[in-house]
Amino acid sequence: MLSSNLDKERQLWEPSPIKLPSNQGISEQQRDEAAAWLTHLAAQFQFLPETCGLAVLLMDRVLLLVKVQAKYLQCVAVTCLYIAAKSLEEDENIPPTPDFVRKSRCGCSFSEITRMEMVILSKLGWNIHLPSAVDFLHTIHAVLILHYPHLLSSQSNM
Amino acid sequence: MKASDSPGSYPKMPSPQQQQQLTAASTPHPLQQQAQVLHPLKQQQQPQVLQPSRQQQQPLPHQQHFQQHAHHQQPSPHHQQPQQSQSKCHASQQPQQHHHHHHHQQQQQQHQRAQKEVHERHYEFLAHVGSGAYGQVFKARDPTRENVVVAIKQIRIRRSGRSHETGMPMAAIREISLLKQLEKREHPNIVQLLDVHHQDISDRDICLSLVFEFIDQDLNTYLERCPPPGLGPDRIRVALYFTVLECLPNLINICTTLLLLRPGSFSFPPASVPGSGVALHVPLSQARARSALVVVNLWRRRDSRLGLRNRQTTSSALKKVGFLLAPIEFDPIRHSNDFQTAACLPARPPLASGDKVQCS
Repeated sequence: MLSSNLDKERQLWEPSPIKLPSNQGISEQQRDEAAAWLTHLAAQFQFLPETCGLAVLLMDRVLLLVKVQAKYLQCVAVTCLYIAAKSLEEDENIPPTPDFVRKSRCGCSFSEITRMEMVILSKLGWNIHLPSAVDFLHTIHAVLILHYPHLLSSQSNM
Repeated sequence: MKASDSPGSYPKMPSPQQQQQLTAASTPHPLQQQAQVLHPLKQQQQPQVLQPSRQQQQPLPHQQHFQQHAHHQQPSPHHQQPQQSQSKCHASQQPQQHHHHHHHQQQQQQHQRAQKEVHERHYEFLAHVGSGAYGQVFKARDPTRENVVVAIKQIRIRRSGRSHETGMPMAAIREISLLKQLEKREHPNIVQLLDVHHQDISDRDICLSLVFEFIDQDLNTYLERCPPPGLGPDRIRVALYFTVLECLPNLINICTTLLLLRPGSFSFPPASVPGSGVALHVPLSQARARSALVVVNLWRRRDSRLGLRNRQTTSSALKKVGFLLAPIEFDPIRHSNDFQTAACLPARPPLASGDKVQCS
């Protein structure tokens, strides 16, 4: 009950981004590759799945809002991951930027990331707590378990 | 785009300096032209970055403000010489600017250095309210809207140096995005964040300004000024219970409540406003109330350390509510010292409190 309410609320609250398929600079394939790369990086840094979801979501928002050239895509993607990590991860789990740059092998420098961070944050109006796909998955899972409690018990028997 | 692209092929982003020059001079370098594609909106907004959206219809807001200033000739102590990089940037547009500031060569206090010349254009700074953990707070008036007083919190972010290797500080990102999230709810007890600006001071430093609605006093000052009769712990308990429980359905998750439940976070409207902050208007005993709040604060901090991992689960959310209410339930003074020492260590909560939590 509570969860389904939460679900509704989230959907209402979502700022209804207008999905424009015509993204000038970046093709859908490039976007998918970048998203896959982010997933890989998130696993490498042992980030939470929520962080990864948020990072991909942020990247999509940025691509929607701003026309990004293909060569900047990687920088945008890495920065989104970094922002997501900063907003969701445990303090100890966040590498300092130089380490992050080195380990991610993103090909952009420390100062580029910090500049891009500023740009992205102001573009998004600092509104980065958006419900990501992973959040919805959590909610749907909770609703499922609530309505079919035997799923949980059968799982624990296994 | 592949992960294996060589670093050498990656073009450099323009430095902030270059960008500023780009707005001033209208002949962009080819390299900067690339940047223009990347930041099409930014280039447009640059001259008015520090301007709230509601002012944008006015054709020349800076100049208008200058006139206003010339009008009120009283020199405010917060005016200062513009910093070199900025005067370079805007000199071509506003030749009278230099002029104007020469009138205001006043004593230079330390906090004035953080304050930015650009703000003065849009907000008249009235007073220095206080310094927080990582910023200074000023009281300011919005010249375009009469009688609107705002509080501006300025955070200076260094981009260089060993201690600042993380870019934008995590706390700032979290605070702003949370407040942004909450502003849609317009809860009477939560400070409204009106605007966020950022401005490059130099190549290395950024000044971030958060514009809040101005509140006469926060809960801390209220408790300090509270008239002597004093108020029992029961009252505090009730008040805090109400506040916490009232917030729950409104907030997106409990974590938000925890982060915001600090004395300074409560906006506290003057008593003349009816119907708002009712719970907090219950009179409280000064000393006791303060220690109760400190306890809550400590619990909050420790619990966020413990519970962030599985923050999404309902059980941990309820546990957090318990953690919040439990110390209120206990005698605040008796437990404040324990909590204080416990909070210094990365310790687990004492078992006794855990039991208590389950009861509540």
